[in-house]
Amino acid sequence: MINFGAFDPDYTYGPKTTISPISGGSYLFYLAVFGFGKTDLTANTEYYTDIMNFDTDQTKYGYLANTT
Amino acid sequence: MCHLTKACSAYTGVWGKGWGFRVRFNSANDDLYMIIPLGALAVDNDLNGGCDIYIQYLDANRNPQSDQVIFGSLIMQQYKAWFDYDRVEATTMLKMQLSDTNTLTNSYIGNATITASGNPFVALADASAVMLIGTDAFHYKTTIRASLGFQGLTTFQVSMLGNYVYTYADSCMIATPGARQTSCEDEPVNAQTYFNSTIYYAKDAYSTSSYAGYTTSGEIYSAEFCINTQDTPYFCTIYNQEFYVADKVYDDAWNYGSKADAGSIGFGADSPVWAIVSNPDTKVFDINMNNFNDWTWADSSYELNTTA
Repeated sequence: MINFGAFDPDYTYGPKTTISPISGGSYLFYLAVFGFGKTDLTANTEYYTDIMNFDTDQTKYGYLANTT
Repeated sequence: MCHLTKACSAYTGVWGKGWGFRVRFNSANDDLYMIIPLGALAVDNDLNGGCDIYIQYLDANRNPQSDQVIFGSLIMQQYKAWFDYDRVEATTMLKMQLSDTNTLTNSYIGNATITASGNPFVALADASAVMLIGTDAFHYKTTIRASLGFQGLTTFQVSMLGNYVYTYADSCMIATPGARQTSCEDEPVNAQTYFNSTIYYAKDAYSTSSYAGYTTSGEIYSAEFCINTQDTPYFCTIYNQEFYVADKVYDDAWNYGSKADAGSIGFGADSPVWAIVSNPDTKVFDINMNNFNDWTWADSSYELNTTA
């Protein structure tokens, strides 16, 4: 079970029925790892290549996203 | 979105074989991460009998959240999520775990450390492939099957010395001065207006440019580029490549009235084609000209010789 923690100050004032980001336009959750690849359960091995866009230029994707 | 031509059940070597996404959120406790199998995104298409994989390109011009990763219901249906409200601490925690009834094989939540394996992606460096080349014996043109941005295979003319890949937008117009503007599918261009540019973000525009017998202008895009080969249905670049999409054709100098296909692919030294095999310093390819051995520019005294 994953506990994502308390991510919105509004939620500290009582039960809520909706999800709200920390502020408008922000990420709801920040990603630390986002990869595509393969887990071999038989051999107990894995390989994932990073597909996360760390770049601030929103026009760059995929391979180009991590080149600056 | 990715499309496979057969029903999802036909691809037995893909689902349940461990392919998937590994996701870890900064805020997750104890370094817990999730594995989402690729099969969670695969849905049979009842209209065409194929299999759709719901991985969608986000266009920065159209979606303000394009710099984010957006998980949809196909992923979330595997989990159950809830909020825990702690009245003492006055905090609300979002928690999530695998569903008891709706979780696919290989779905995982945990922090297990697994030994790294070799790269399962096929490395194309130093690879060779046989491209299928079509010939037009009437116009003496060669063509190959290729695709841009996974919009489906179509036919492109081949330029052995050219460096571009260019194609025609589905909004392409003939723009000859004084002539009524019509679709590039009409004469004299006779192009297959193949590329749907509405789902892509244009990087730049290019002005009037002469290439492969056509003078065109249009926009520059970036996407995967694939060639149809003998043994591999898709022989593709592993990252995006620039290509030119003509939406105006001003001149059809070399090929007036003849079929233009979906565009032209150049095999020169700077062509994106070489990115498929990791841009080797020396570009090597064999050319089989068998289909043209009944005509030549050679001197009339030329004698055909075959050497071993």
